[in-house]
Amino acid sequence: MGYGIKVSQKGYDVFTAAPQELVVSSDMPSLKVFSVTHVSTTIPASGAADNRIRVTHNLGYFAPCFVIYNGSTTIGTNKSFMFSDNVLPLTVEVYPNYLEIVVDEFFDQGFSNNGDTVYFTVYQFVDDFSAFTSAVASATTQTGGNDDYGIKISKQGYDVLICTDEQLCMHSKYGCANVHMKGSTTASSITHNLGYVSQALAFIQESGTSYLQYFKWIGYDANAAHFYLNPGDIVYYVIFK
Amino acid sequence: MFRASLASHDARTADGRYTVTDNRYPNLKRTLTGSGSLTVPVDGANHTVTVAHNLGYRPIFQAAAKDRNGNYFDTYYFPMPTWDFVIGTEISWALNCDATNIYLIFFYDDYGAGDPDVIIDYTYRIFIDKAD
Repeated sequence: MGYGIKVSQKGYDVFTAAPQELVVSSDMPSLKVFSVTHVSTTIPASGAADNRIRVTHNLGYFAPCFVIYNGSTTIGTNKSFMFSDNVLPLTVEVYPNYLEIVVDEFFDQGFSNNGDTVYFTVYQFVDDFSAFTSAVASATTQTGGNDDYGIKISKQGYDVLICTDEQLCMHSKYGCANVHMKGSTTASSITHNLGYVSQALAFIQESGTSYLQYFKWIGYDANAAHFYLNPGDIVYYVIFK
Repeated sequence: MFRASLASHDARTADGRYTVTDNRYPNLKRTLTGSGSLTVPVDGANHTVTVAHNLGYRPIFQAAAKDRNGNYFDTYYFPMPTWDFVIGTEISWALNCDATNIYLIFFYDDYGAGDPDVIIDYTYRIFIDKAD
């Protein structure tokens, strides 16, 4: 590619770095944060209707999200649980313009109590599930020193010279959540040929529903991902570099 | 303002779906990745992998695991968290973090059937972005 941008991680030569050693590249998308929202509700009383927290983004398409449970009145707020309560994955319904976190009377499986306030952080990403597959081949070898790195970009509203790393948009010190492959399918498996085990994030649109939910039944190895679907289900997936 | 687009998209006009880095929409920033193995007795107790991140706040992270000799999750890696009840065995893989560590928590219970230990392979990646 004779144009675009390619930034390597600290310690890797941008001319020879493999795709997974890059911070960003015009050859592959990366999950980018559209909004971060902090919300709370209460665990309903036994027999009461579920509580739902709606987080609106108005993107107009299905987009990946990451929902974090940050504790409750009973267990305190010193721990964070990724897409789960203490035991089970969260029930999150993802619509094109908003998502809803569903908190039922059994939320947190007895670790918290009915009536507890429960706290969440929602990372809404701007990216979609349109089909994309990154090149697998490593970068071409060119000359360049091992110190060919170094770029730092701050989020809007922060001074790049003095802000904390968490306030940066990107930095050569840190890799990004770069996407190797994404899309949606009704197939039971896809071949990604990454060559190593990475991480994945998946959602399912069950047959007859209009929303996506966190999907735990994605099994993967170094070269393929397998989806355990019922007829009519659609899986929306992201496989990271 | 800084924005770089995917190949074949104009950075000046591309919306966030088609940029690779864009200071309108920060990238998640990965600070630590790793993997390991853990032998888990099928005893109805939590067995925890602790990984220090030392960020001083709770970060976003991802993890996945497979059990090399388990009943169900032994062929592929599955994202954490997960839970299942398979052939008489309750399986729970949970995860959380605090300001110092991430914790991967594995639980197997066969209710006294005497199944052998399960060897878990796990992998994780930690971002510096705040979870709370």
